[in-house]
Amino acid sequence: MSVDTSSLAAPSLFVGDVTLRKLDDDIYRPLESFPTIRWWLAIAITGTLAAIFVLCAAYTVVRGIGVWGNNVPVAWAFDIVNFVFWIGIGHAGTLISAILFLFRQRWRTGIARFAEAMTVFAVICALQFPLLHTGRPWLAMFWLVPYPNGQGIYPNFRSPLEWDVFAVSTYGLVSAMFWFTGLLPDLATARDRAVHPFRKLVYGILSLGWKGSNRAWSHYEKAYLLFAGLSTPLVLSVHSIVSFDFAVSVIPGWHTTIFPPYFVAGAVFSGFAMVATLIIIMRKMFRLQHLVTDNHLELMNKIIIATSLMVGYAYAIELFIAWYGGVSYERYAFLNRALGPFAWAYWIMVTCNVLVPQLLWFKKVRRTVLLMYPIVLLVNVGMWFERFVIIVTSLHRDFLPSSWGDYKPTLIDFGLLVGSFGVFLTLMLLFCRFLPTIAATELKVILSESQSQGGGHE
Amino acid sequence: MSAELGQSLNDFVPPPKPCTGLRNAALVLSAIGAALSLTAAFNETHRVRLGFGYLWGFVFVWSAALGSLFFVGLQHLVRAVWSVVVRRVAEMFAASIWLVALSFVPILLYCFSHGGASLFPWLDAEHVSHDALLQQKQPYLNLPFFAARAAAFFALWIGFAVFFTQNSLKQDVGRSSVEPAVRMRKASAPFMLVFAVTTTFASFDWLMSLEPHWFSTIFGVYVFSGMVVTALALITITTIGLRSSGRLGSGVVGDGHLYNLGVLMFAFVCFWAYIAFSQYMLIWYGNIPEESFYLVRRFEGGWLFVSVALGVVRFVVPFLALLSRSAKTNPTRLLWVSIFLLAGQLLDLYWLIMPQLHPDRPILGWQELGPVLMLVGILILFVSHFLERHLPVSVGDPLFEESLRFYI
Repeated sequence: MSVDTSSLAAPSLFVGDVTLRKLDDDIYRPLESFPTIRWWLAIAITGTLAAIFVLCAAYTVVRGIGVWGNNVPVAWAFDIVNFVFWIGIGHAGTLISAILFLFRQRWRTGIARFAEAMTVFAVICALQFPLLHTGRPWLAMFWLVPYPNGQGIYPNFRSPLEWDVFAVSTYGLVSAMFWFTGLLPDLATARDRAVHPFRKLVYGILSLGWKGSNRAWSHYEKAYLLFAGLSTPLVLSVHSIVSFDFAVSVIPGWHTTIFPPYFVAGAVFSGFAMVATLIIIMRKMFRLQHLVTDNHLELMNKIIIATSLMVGYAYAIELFIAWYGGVSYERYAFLNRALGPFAWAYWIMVTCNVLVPQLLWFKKVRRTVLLMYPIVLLVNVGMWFERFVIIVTSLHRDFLPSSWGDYKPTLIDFGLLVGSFGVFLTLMLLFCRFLPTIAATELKVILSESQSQGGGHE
Repeated sequence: MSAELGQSLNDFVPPPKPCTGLRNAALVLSAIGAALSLTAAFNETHRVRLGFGYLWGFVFVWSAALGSLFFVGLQHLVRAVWSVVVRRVAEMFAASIWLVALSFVPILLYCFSHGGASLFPWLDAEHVSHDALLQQKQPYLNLPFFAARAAAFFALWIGFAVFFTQNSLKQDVGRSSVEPAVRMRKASAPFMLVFAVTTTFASFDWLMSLEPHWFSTIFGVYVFSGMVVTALALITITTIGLRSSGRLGSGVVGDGHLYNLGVLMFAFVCFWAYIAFSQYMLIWYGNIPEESFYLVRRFEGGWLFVSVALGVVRFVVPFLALLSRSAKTNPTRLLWVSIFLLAGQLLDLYWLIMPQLHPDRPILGWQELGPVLMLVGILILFVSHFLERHLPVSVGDPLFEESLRFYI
């Protein structure tokens, strides 16, 4: 057989001549050298934004949530929009670390660590908003977590908001443990490379005495597989339960059966867009383009367009069924979305989430950073607006025109939104400075396989 | 890579030979089914039940063929290598879509006849004139548009099925270039778009509109999830059957390939449960009469038992049976779970279709079973016919050798 099958082969995951030594040097350099001026500049900006978050949060707690724009009938607004947005951002990390692992997609190794870190930080950001919305966050524990108490008062287990408490906290904990488990061998490498005794001590404690023995590896592999298996239903369940917050009600525009899978697809969509947004900067900042290659970006872009189409499918089916179902409230809710006072938000959503990503059908767009970068940025914007459209437009006009209302966010609302990006990005910058941003050990396995031209795996 | 592997490629898979046993069994099955159906057709009282039974059988073979076409398209889209050795089986079932299209013709004729309104209430002009909701839906639910949609769906499905199978069969004769493989990859993404839209609206037309007042946005995804499970079960049964009868040759389908089929089956069993639960829970929780009546009917009287059985047959049993790693490489286990899942698909479709006919309790008689036997018999006849003419493995696929080397 003389047919050349190279055009069908899987894309290469490395650029140029990468050796094991060079790989370690490149990945651990940011940890071992003094931060560059660009890093300081970046953290100065994000730190300022994070400070704005803290100030706005403190102001909210002191004055009460009346400082936000929410008011009946729009009782949920920026807070829940931001909550759903940040939870969604985390989903790419879990998808990459769990589902792509189960599918044996080896390209995931280049971006998995970074995306998993994003998951953990995004959950942290997300949690701030419902906590702040309780008004007295320091008491929230007593309201949200069921525990035996003298008064015999328990949270309402029939409320999806209570399910959210369990779903999101489980998700956050499992994601953090999964992330940390994956980090262990790399932390041990950081310890072994460390010169300063203090560094050695800290990384030594963090790596839990990892020696890289046969037994340790076999346990590690098993734990990783189990985590992947357990995280997979979590990816689906968390955003499904977030969607229940809306869908179990009978509000027109909220109560629709496609919500669970639609929210999950949207979460993966927005999460991948955010990973792409940040990893492109990261690989440039730390000169890692040979490890996070254009092939990686292309594959991510393929997932982005696939999920964009799923989200577009949900928009279309919702519209069709709103008409087909014949319920006048439902029909009006969608008419109001597309033509009402918040039509601008609806059309931003449709443009950013469905229309613009269609450019990713072109290979050239998928592979050119300058062309794809505006698209993924717009997807981030569009997915925030999607939650805004769902939450605010459905609430501001429901059944009785006499109880309709308007919604205007306040400066504090914007401060918290922008500030949460500050918190998130500050955590990401610290992560890039102190932990290996790429799963070095996993990458070495792939590297030695691709060099020995072996066909086997696992 | 390996020259020896390439030269001995034709020894790997034995040439096609007659499948007399399978064909005779299929002939008997379809003959019995046809006899029962004809008997029912000429009796006024049985004809209504025959109509529902026929739709039941039709949707079953439709989901088998279209689910398999989805499997083929998916393998090209994600550039799967392991699945090359099992893809021909899926291509075979996908190729049967033209037969499914033919078997839709009686339904269409029935709709044009006076009796059609017993199947689809929106066909009854008298009934519609008293129903404000159905009047609103008339721009969509009317016979000419219904027929035109079906024609368009089948044209697209047949087009893609012919494209994927012909390009794959072309490679059997002799591999001269990777051109067909590249072409199929390129077509797979647009195919997915077409598949998603057509499958959704076909399931609205043929299943949801049986109860024209009811609506559910997730319905297309629900039908899709069951369809994929069905296709995977059929592919698994056929692959194991071909392997044990020696038609596949030795060492073509190994434990790794069976494992992957098992994993996919397990995943889609869970996916079905997830979608089914989402639909059920949200309608139950919202509890508004516009949509809850559909479930109320299915959770009252004799239907409660069917609803519970559906969850057990489609999720609980296959979930537990496929959970362990060793189960997914055990051919016997995979075989009976697959058969169980096919029964689950029939039960699911029965649950979707029949409460319209028997609102009080589930009834199953020869009038409903006849057409199912007939259509399944015809599908098996098609399979035996295909296997007598074509190789059961796409040996000419450029990635065939790499697929052989897949292990876990």
